[in-house]
Amino acid sequence: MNDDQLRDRIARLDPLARTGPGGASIEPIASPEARSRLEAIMNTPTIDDHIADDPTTDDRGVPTGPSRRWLAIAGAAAAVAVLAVGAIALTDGGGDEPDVADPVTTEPDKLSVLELSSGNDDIMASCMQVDASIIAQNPIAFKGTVTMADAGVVQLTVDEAYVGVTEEAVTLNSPEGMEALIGGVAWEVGVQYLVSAWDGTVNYCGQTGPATPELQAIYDEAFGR
Amino acid sequence: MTSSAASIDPARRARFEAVAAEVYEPVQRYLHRRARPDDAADVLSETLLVVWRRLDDLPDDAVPWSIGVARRCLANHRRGDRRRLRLVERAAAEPRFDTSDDPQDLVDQTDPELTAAIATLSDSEAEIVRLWAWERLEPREIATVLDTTANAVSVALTRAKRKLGRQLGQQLDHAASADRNAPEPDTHQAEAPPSPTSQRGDER
Repeated sequence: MNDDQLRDRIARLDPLARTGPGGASIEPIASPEARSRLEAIMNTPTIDDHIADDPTTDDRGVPTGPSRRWLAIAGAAAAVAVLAVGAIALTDGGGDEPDVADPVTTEPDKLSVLELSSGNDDIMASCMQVDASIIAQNPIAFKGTVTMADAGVVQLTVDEAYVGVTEEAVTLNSPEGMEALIGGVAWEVGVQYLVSAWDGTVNYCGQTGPATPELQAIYDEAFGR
Repeated sequence: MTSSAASIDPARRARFEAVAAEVYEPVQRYLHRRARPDDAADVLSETLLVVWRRLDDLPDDAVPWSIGVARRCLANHRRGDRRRLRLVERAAAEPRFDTSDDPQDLVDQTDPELTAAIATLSDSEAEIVRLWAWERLEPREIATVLDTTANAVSVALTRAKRKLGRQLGQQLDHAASADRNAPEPDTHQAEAPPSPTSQRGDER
């Protein structure tokens, strides 16, 4: 079997060839659905120079070496933190009202805490390049400074809430045995971090990390700062 | 920092329209080959959004670049799916979502020998082979998709083709051997090419 024959034989495995005549599920570019999709996209904000100048990406927008190494480290523990969402006011011990506090009614003299705990799935998940459009999808994002980093527990004060956070502090709890994997991030007291979470999961996969100018620029872009 | 829709340069729109016309269907095909229809549609939009926002960074050959973006978006989408799934499973303790429309289900029924042979490849080799045969990309373009060098792709593709050839050859040998031991040998089998209808899909 020569190369062409092998290629043709593999091509016959193409699932699209079996989904109906002419690949029925493919939208032609001229279809109303495609036009609607493209119009919606063209009505979204365009990106500024932040990402184009981002040293973590090359000219094709893919990660360069140093960033990739960092992502790989973060990726070793990617998505290991499962967010137990619930704002718990320390002053009332969590009580019966676990809902996120209303920003309008939050009392400034109460230290409310968003609690996070870690799971152990997707340890080896690979990471895609982080950009503002991805960060912007997260319902929870904030910038905070680490006030305590102990075995399996990291506490941060919220310096800036981008979305979904009305608490003044966040606690990251790692389950027993997973302490070393708490995000693959070297949490250091006094250092500022950018943190995001989606659907109950903290996104460590390059989306959470020290507030470097590069990551800060992506968060700024994502949340229109 | 950002520009509003109202201030978007018509030239930018025109440029995006031109790129979209080039990449829309190839990216869609890439996604529909690897994801369920709903996921493919979502990731298509995410991919085009990246194209729109990075319009100034696009290389001349936008198709493999865009497929590379789609590949990364799909990987991220799947991670999100897994997270949501864990929460749903925890909450409901019910079976996961229906996978009956997973394109992989269709692949597995087509050519069992070849499917089994491809299963012996590493994940990266298998993806290179699929990009070569399904997307009809050449090593230079595959390198763009996978963010590696054309040389690395060529080496991996050559290795993968040799492995497949070996696997398929072994299957033919097994078939011939089985035929020789059969009570009534099939005289047409000796020179026959591997048949998709063969029942030896589980042999490697």
